[in-house]
Amino acid sequence: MKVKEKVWTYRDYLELNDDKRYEVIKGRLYEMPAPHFEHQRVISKIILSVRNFSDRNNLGEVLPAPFDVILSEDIVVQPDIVFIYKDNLKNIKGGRLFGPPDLVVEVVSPTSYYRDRYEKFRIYEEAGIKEYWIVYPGEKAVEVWVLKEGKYELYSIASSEGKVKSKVLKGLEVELKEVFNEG
Amino acid sequence: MKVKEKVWTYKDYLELNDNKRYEVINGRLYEMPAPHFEHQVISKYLFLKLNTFVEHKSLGVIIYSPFDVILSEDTVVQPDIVFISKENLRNVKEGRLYGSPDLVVEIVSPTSYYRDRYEKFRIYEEAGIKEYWIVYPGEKAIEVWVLKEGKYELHSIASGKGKVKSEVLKGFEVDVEGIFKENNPK
Repeated sequence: MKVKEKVWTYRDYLELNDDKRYEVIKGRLYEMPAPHFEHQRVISKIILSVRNFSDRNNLGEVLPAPFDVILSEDIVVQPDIVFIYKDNLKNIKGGRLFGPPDLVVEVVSPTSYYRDRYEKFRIYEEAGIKEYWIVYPGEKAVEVWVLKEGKYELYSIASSEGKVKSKVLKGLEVELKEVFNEG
Repeated sequence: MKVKEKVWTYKDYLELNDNKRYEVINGRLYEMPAPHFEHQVISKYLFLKLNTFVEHKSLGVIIYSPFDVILSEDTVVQPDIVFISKENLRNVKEGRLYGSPDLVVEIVSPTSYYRDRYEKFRIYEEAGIKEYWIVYPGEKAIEVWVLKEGKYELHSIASGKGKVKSEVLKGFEVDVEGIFKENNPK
Protein backbone atom coordinates (compact mmCIF):
# COMPACT_ATOMS: atom_id res chain seq x y z
CA MET A 1 0.00 0.00 0.00
CA LYS A 2 1.49 3.29 -1.06
CA VAL A 3 0.76 6.20 1.23
CA LYS A 4 1.31 9.92 1.36
CA GLU A 5 2.68 11.73 -1.66
CA LYS A 6 6.00 13.29 -0.90
CA VAL A 7 9.64 12.27 -1.20
CA TRP A 8 10.42 10.37 1.95
CA THR A 9 13.86 10.05 3.45
CA TYR A 10 15.28 7.88 6.11
CA ARG A 11 15.01 10.78 8.54
CA ASP A 12 11.30 11.29 7.87
CA TYR A 13 10.83 7.60 8.42
CA LEU A 14 12.46 7.73 11.84
CA GLU A 15 10.11 10.48 12.90
CA LEU A 16 7.02 8.43 12.11
CA ASN A 17 5.53 7.51 15.39
CA ASP A 18 2.21 5.81 14.75
CA ASP A 19 3.02 2.17 15.58
CA LYS A 20 2.54 1.05 12.00
CA ARG A 21 5.12 -0.74 9.86
CA TYR A 22 6.47 1.04 6.80
CA GLU A 23 9.13 0.73 4.15
CA VAL A 24 10.66 3.58 2.19
CA ILE A 25 11.57 2.67 -1.37
CA LYS A 26 13.13 5.37 -3.53
CA GLY A 27 11.43 8.07 -1.53
CA ARG A 28 8.00 6.44 -1.52
CA LEU A 29 6.43 5.39 1.76
CA TYR A 30 4.67 2.02 1.87
CA GLU A 31 2.59 0.78 4.74
CA MET A 32 3.15 -2.89 5.48
CA PRO A 33 -0.04 -4.82 6.23
CA ALA A 34 0.17 -7.52 8.91
CA PRO A 35 1.24 -10.74 7.21
CA HIS A 36 -1.09 -13.72 6.91
CA PHE A 37 -0.80 -17.00 8.74
CA GLU A 38 0.59 -18.91 5.75
CA HIS A 39 3.24 -16.25 5.13
CA GLN A 40 4.41 -16.45 8.72
CA ARG A 41 4.38 -20.24 8.76
CA VAL A 42 6.63 -20.38 5.71
CA ILE A 43 9.01 -17.79 7.19
CA SER A 44 9.23 -19.72 10.46
CA LYS A 45 10.29 -22.86 8.63
CA ILE A 46 12.92 -21.12 6.54
CA ILE A 47 14.35 -19.08 9.38
CA LEU A 48 14.81 -22.21 11.47
CA SER A 49 16.90 -23.86 8.74
CA VAL A 50 18.96 -20.74 8.11
CA ARG A 51 19.47 -20.01 11.79
CA ASN A 52 20.49 -23.59 12.62
CA PHE A 53 23.00 -23.57 9.80
CA SER A 54 24.42 -20.18 10.69
CA ASP A 55 24.68 -20.96 14.41
CA ARG A 56 26.24 -24.37 13.85
CA ASN A 57 28.95 -22.83 11.70
CA ASN A 58 29.21 -19.60 13.66
CA LEU A 59 28.65 -17.43 10.59
CA GLY A 60 26.65 -14.46 11.79
CA GLU A 61 23.14 -13.31 12.70
CA VAL A 62 19.76 -14.32 11.25
CA LEU A 63 16.82 -12.04 11.97
CA PRO A 64 13.14 -11.98 11.08
CA ALA A 65 11.18 -8.83 10.14
CA PRO A 66 10.46 -6.23 11.37
CA PHE A 67 14.08 -5.12 11.38
CA ASP A 68 15.18 -1.92 9.66
CA VAL A 69 17.74 -2.16 6.90
CA ILE A 70 18.89 1.24 5.68
CA LEU A 71 20.20 0.82 2.16
CA SER A 72 20.44 4.51 1.32
CA GLU A 73 19.07 7.90 2.29
CA ASP A 74 15.73 7.11 0.57
CA ILE A 75 15.54 3.33 0.96
CA VAL A 76 14.58 1.62 4.21
CA VAL A 77 13.37 -1.98 3.96
CA GLN A 78 12.29 -4.69 6.34
CA PRO A 79 13.02 -7.96 4.54
CA ASP A 80 11.22 -11.02 5.89
CA ILE A 81 14.54 -12.64 6.82
CA VAL A 82 17.99 -11.09 6.94
CA PHE A 83 21.34 -12.83 7.32
CA ILE A 84 24.29 -10.68 8.36
CA TYR A 85 27.75 -12.15 8.18
CA LYS A 86 29.63 -11.68 11.44
CA ASP A 87 32.15 -9.30 9.86
CA ASN A 88 29.26 -7.02 8.90
CA LEU A 89 27.66 -6.90 12.32
CA LYS A 90 29.66 -3.73 12.95
CA ASN A 91 27.22 -1.98 10.57
CA ILE A 92 24.42 -2.37 13.11
CA LYS A 93 23.99 0.97 14.84
CA GLY A 94 21.17 2.09 17.05
CA GLY A 95 19.49 -1.28 16.49
CA ARG A 96 19.39 -0.92 12.70
CA LEU A 97 21.54 -2.21 9.88
CA PHE A 98 23.18 0.51 7.81
CA GLY A 99 24.16 -1.03 4.51
CA PRO A 100 23.41 -4.28 2.71
CA PRO A 101 22.92 -7.55 4.57
CA ASP A 102 24.58 -10.64 3.04
CA LEU A 103 21.40 -12.51 2.27
CA VAL A 104 17.73 -11.57 2.33
CA VAL A 105 14.56 -13.61 1.99
CA GLU A 106 11.19 -12.23 0.90
CA VAL A 107 8.04 -14.32 1.05
CA VAL A 108 5.70 -13.05 -1.65
CA SER A 109 2.02 -12.33 -1.11
CA PRO A 110 -0.58 -10.90 -3.51
CA THR A 111 -0.07 -7.44 -2.03
CA SER A 112 3.73 -7.58 -2.34
CA TYR A 113 4.18 -9.56 -5.54
CA TYR A 114 5.38 -6.75 -7.79
CA ARG A 115 7.44 -5.10 -5.08
CA ASP A 116 9.26 -8.28 -4.09
CA ARG A 117 9.78 -9.76 -7.55
CA TYR A 118 10.71 -6.63 -9.47
CA GLU A 119 11.12 -3.49 -7.38
CA LYS A 120 13.10 -4.92 -4.45
CA PHE A 121 14.87 -7.25 -6.85
CA ARG A 122 16.45 -4.23 -8.53
CA ILE A 123 17.04 -2.45 -5.24
CA TYR A 124 18.77 -5.45 -3.67
CA GLU A 125 20.79 -5.93 -6.83
CA GLU A 126 21.90 -2.30 -6.86
CA ALA A 127 22.60 -2.37 -3.12
CA GLY A 128 24.98 -5.29 -3.68
CA ILE A 129 23.11 -7.83 -1.54
CA LYS A 130 24.92 -11.01 -2.51
CA GLU A 131 21.96 -13.36 -2.35
CA TYR A 132 18.20 -12.91 -2.59
CA TRP A 133 15.68 -15.67 -1.94
CA ILE A 134 12.18 -15.16 -3.30
CA VAL A 135 9.58 -17.53 -1.89
CA TYR A 136 6.19 -18.05 -3.57
CA PRO A 137 3.93 -19.90 -1.12
CA GLY A 138 1.04 -20.17 -3.59
CA GLU A 139 3.22 -21.80 -6.21
CA LYS A 140 5.30 -23.67 -3.61
CA ALA A 141 8.39 -22.28 -5.31
CA VAL A 142 11.69 -20.85 -4.09
CA GLU A 143 14.19 -18.95 -6.23
CA VAL A 144 17.74 -18.21 -5.09
CA TRP A 145 19.32 -15.27 -6.91
CA VAL A 146 23.05 -14.70 -6.58
CA LEU A 147 24.96 -11.59 -7.56
CA LYS A 148 27.39 -12.07 -10.46
CA GLU A 149 29.23 -8.99 -11.65
CA GLY A 150 26.57 -6.74 -10.22
CA LYS A 151 23.57 -8.63 -11.65
CA TYR A 152 21.40 -11.30 -10.11
CA GLU A 153 21.59 -14.72 -11.72
CA LEU A 154 19.22 -17.54 -10.92
CA TYR A 155 21.45 -19.84 -8.89
CA SER A 156 18.95 -22.38 -7.60
CA ILE A 157 15.24 -22.97 -8.06
CA ALA A 158 12.72 -25.60 -7.11
CA SER A 159 8.97 -25.85 -6.94
CA SER A 160 6.67 -28.35 -5.31
CA GLU A 161 9.54 -30.68 -4.37
CA GLY A 162 13.31 -30.85 -4.39
CA LYS A 163 15.83 -28.59 -2.70
CA VAL A 164 17.28 -25.15 -3.13
CA LYS A 165 20.79 -24.31 -2.10
CA SER A 166 22.58 -21.19 -0.97
CA LYS A 167 25.86 -19.86 -2.23
CA VAL A 168 26.52 -17.32 0.51
CA LEU A 169 25.76 -19.95 3.14
CA LYS A 170 27.77 -22.68 1.46
CA GLY A 171 26.40 -26.07 2.35
CA LEU A 172 22.91 -24.85 3.27
CA GLU A 173 20.14 -26.67 1.46
CA VAL A 174 16.47 -26.32 2.15
CA GLU A 175 14.00 -29.08 1.36
CA LEU A 176 10.82 -27.60 -0.13
CA LYS A 177 8.52 -30.20 1.31
CA GLU A 178 9.60 -29.08 4.77
CA VAL A 179 8.86 -25.45 3.94
CA PHE A 180 5.47 -25.79 2.31
CA ASN A 181 3.93 -28.87 3.88
CA GLU A 182 1.38 -28.12 6.49
CA GLY A 183 2.07 -29.06 10.04
CA MET B 1 7.71 -34.31 -15.59
CA LYS B 2 10.64 -35.11 -17.88
CA VAL B 3 10.48 -38.49 -19.55
CA LYS B 4 12.67 -40.66 -21.74
CA GLU B 5 16.22 -39.65 -22.47
CA LYS B 6 16.70 -38.99 -26.16
CA VAL B 7 16.49 -35.98 -28.44
CA TRP B 8 12.87 -35.71 -29.43
CA THR B 9 11.66 -34.10 -32.61
CA TYR B 10 8.29 -33.02 -33.77
CA LYS B 11 8.05 -36.16 -35.89
CA ASP B 12 8.71 -38.46 -32.92
CA TYR B 13 6.04 -36.58 -31.04
CA LEU B 14 3.45 -37.22 -33.73
CA GLU B 15 4.15 -40.92 -33.57
CA LEU B 16 3.38 -41.10 -29.86
CA ASN B 17 0.13 -42.87 -29.55
CA ASP B 18 -0.51 -43.51 -25.88
CA ASN B 19 -3.31 -41.01 -25.17
CA LYS B 20 -1.14 -38.94 -22.85
CA ARG B 21 -0.36 -35.26 -23.24
CA TYR B 22 3.21 -34.22 -23.90
CA GLU B 23 5.28 -31.20 -24.82
CA VAL B 24 8.65 -31.25 -26.56
CA ILE B 25 10.96 -28.46 -25.46
CA ASN B 26 14.39 -28.21 -27.05
CA GLY B 27 14.31 -31.91 -27.79
CA ARG B 28 13.17 -33.00 -24.33
CA LEU B 29 9.86 -34.78 -23.89
CA TYR B 30 7.67 -33.72 -20.97
CA GLU B 31 4.52 -35.47 -19.90
CA MET B 32 1.75 -33.05 -18.95
CA PRO B 33 -0.20 -34.01 -15.85
CA ALA B 34 -3.93 -33.29 -15.92
CA PRO B 35 -4.48 -29.76 -14.60
CA HIS B 36 -6.15 -29.15 -11.26
CA PHE B 37 -9.62 -27.77 -10.73
CA GLU B 38 -8.39 -24.31 -9.71
CA HIS B 39 -6.15 -24.08 -12.78
CA GLN B 40 -9.08 -24.88 -15.02
CA VAL B 41 -11.43 -22.39 -13.32
CA ILE B 42 -8.91 -19.60 -13.86
CA SER B 43 -8.35 -20.74 -17.42
CA LYS B 44 -12.10 -20.63 -18.03
CA TYR B 45 -12.57 -17.07 -16.73
CA LEU B 46 -9.65 -15.71 -18.69
CA PHE B 47 -10.63 -17.61 -21.81
CA LEU B 48 -14.19 -16.29 -21.67
CA LYS B 49 -13.03 -12.69 -21.37
CA LEU B 50 -10.48 -13.02 -24.14
CA ASN B 51 -12.92 -14.82 -26.37
CA THR B 52 -15.63 -12.20 -25.97
CA PHE B 53 -13.19 -9.45 -26.87
CA VAL B 54 -11.67 -11.25 -29.85
CA GLU B 55 -14.98 -12.44 -31.31
CA HIS B 56 -16.64 -9.09 -30.87
CA LYS B 57 -13.89 -7.41 -32.86
CA SER B 58 -13.31 -10.31 -35.28
CA LEU B 59 -9.61 -10.31 -34.54
CA GLY B 60 -8.90 -14.01 -34.89
CA VAL B 61 -9.28 -17.09 -32.74
CA ILE B 62 -8.80 -17.77 -29.04
CA ILE B 63 -8.29 -21.42 -28.30
CA TYR B 64 -7.48 -23.36 -25.17
CA SER B 65 -5.23 -26.29 -24.43
CA PRO B 66 -4.68 -29.02 -25.51
CA PHE B 67 -3.75 -27.61 -28.91
CA ASP B 68 -0.39 -28.25 -30.58
CA VAL B 69 1.82 -25.31 -31.40
CA ILE B 70 4.86 -26.33 -33.40
CA LEU B 71 7.51 -23.68 -32.82
CA SER B 72 10.42 -25.59 -34.36
CA GLU B 73 11.58 -29.07 -35.24
CA ASP B 74 12.34 -29.82 -31.59
CA THR B 75 9.78 -27.66 -29.75
CA VAL B 76 6.08 -28.48 -29.57
CA VAL B 77 4.06 -26.76 -26.85
CA GLN B 78 0.48 -26.69 -25.68
CA PRO B 79 0.02 -23.30 -24.02
CA ASP B 80 -3.01 -22.98 -21.75
CA ILE B 81 -4.59 -20.32 -23.97
CA VAL B 82 -3.51 -19.20 -27.44
CA PHE B 83 -4.57 -16.24 -29.57
CA ILE B 84 -4.07 -16.54 -33.31
CA SER B 85 -4.76 -13.41 -35.31
CA LYS B 86 -6.80 -13.58 -38.52
CA GLU B 87 -3.74 -13.14 -40.72
CA ASN B 88 -1.91 -15.87 -38.85
CA LEU B 89 -4.68 -18.48 -39.19
CA ARG B 90 -3.24 -19.65 -42.50
CA ASN B 91 -0.46 -21.29 -40.44
CA VAL B 92 -2.95 -23.70 -38.93
CA LYS B 93 -2.55 -26.94 -40.85
CA GLU B 94 -3.95 -30.37 -40.06
CA GLY B 95 -5.32 -29.02 -36.84
CA ARG B 96 -2.03 -27.64 -35.53
CA LEU B 97 -0.35 -24.27 -35.56
CA TYR B 98 2.99 -24.19 -37.38
CA GLY B 99 4.79 -21.13 -36.14
CA SER B 100 4.16 -18.54 -33.46
CA PRO B 101 0.78 -17.57 -32.11
CA ASP B 102 0.25 -13.85 -31.44
CA LEU B 103 -0.36 -14.23 -27.72
CA VAL B 104 -0.05 -17.10 -25.27
CA VAL B 105 -1.17 -17.55 -21.69
CA GLU B 106 0.35 -19.99 -19.21
CA ILE B 107 -1.23 -20.62 -15.83
CA VAL B 108 1.56 -21.62 -13.47
CA SER B 109 1.32 -24.54 -11.10
CA PRO B 110 3.91 -25.85 -8.64
CA THR B 111 4.92 -28.55 -11.12
CA SER B 112 5.30 -26.11 -14.03
CA TYR B 113 6.73 -23.07 -12.26
CA TYR B 114 10.27 -23.18 -13.62
CA ARG B 115 9.18 -24.25 -17.10
CA ASP B 116 6.58 -21.50 -17.47
CA ARG B 117 8.49 -18.68 -15.84
CA TYR B 118 11.96 -19.29 -17.27
CA GLU B 119 12.15 -22.05 -19.85
CA LYS B 120 9.07 -21.25 -21.92
CA PHE B 121 9.70 -17.55 -21.33
CA ARG B 122 12.92 -17.87 -23.31
CA ILE B 123 11.36 -20.14 -25.89
CA TYR B 124 8.44 -17.80 -26.52
CA GLU B 125 10.80 -14.85 -26.65
CA GLU B 126 13.03 -16.56 -29.20
CA ALA B 127 10.02 -17.74 -31.18
CA GLY B 128 8.91 -14.13 -31.49
CA ILE B 129 5.57 -14.56 -29.72
CA LYS B 130 4.53 -10.95 -29.29
CA GLU B 131 2.85 -11.25 -25.94
CA TYR B 132 3.11 -13.72 -23.07
CA TRP B 133 0.77 -13.72 -20.09
CA ILE B 134 1.94 -15.56 -16.98
CA VAL B 135 -0.73 -16.25 -14.39
CA TYR B 136 0.22 -17.14 -10.80
CA PRO B 137 -2.89 -18.49 -9.03
CA GLY B 138 -1.25 -18.75 -5.62
CA GLU B 139 -0.13 -15.12 -5.66
CA LYS B 140 -3.26 -13.94 -7.53
CA ALA B 141 -0.88 -12.26 -9.94
CA ILE B 142 -0.82 -11.76 -13.70
CA GLU B 143 2.18 -10.55 -15.67
CA VAL B 144 1.91 -9.38 -19.28
CA TRP B 145 5.23 -9.55 -21.15
CA VAL B 146 5.50 -7.82 -24.51
CA LEU B 147 8.25 -8.29 -27.07
CA LYS B 148 10.36 -5.18 -27.62
CA GLU B 149 13.28 -5.56 -30.03
CA GLY B 150 13.34 -9.29 -29.51
CA LYS B 151 13.21 -9.21 -25.70
CA TYR B 152 10.26 -9.47 -23.36
CA GLU B 153 9.52 -6.39 -21.31
CA LEU B 154 7.05 -6.30 -18.44
CA HIS B 155 4.16 -4.38 -19.97
CA SER B 156 1.54 -4.77 -17.28
CA ILE B 157 1.29 -6.47 -13.90
CA ALA B 158 -1.25 -6.71 -11.09
CA SER B 159 -1.65 -8.90 -8.05
CA GLY B 160 -4.47 -9.18 -5.55
CA LYS B 161 -6.39 -6.38 -7.20
CA GLY B 162 -6.12 -4.03 -10.14
CA LYS B 163 -6.10 -4.60 -13.87
CA VAL B 164 -3.69 -5.85 -16.47
CA LYS B 165 -3.85 -4.83 -20.07
CA SER B 166 -2.79 -6.27 -23.38
CA GLU B 167 -0.82 -4.61 -26.12
CA VAL B 168 -1.49 -7.13 -28.88
CA LEU B 169 -5.22 -7.02 -28.12
CA LYS B 170 -5.41 -3.26 -27.86
CA GLY B 171 -8.16 -2.17 -25.51
CA PHE B 172 -8.35 -5.50 -23.71
CA GLU B 173 -7.94 -5.31 -19.98
CA VAL B 174 -8.93 -7.62 -17.21
CA ASP B 175 -9.54 -7.19 -13.51
CA VAL B 176 -7.49 -9.76 -11.60
CA GLU B 177 -10.16 -10.09 -8.93
CA GLY B 178 -12.54 -11.39 -11.57
CA ILE B 179 -10.06 -14.08 -12.59
CA PHE B 180 -9.14 -15.35 -9.13
CA LYS B 181 -12.66 -15.52 -7.74
CA GLU B 182 -12.77 -17.86 -4.76
CA ASN B 183 -15.47 -20.23 -5.85
CA ASN B 184 -13.47 -23.38 -5.68
CA PRO B 185 -13.37 -26.14 -3.09
CA LYS B 186 -9.85 -26.42 -1.64
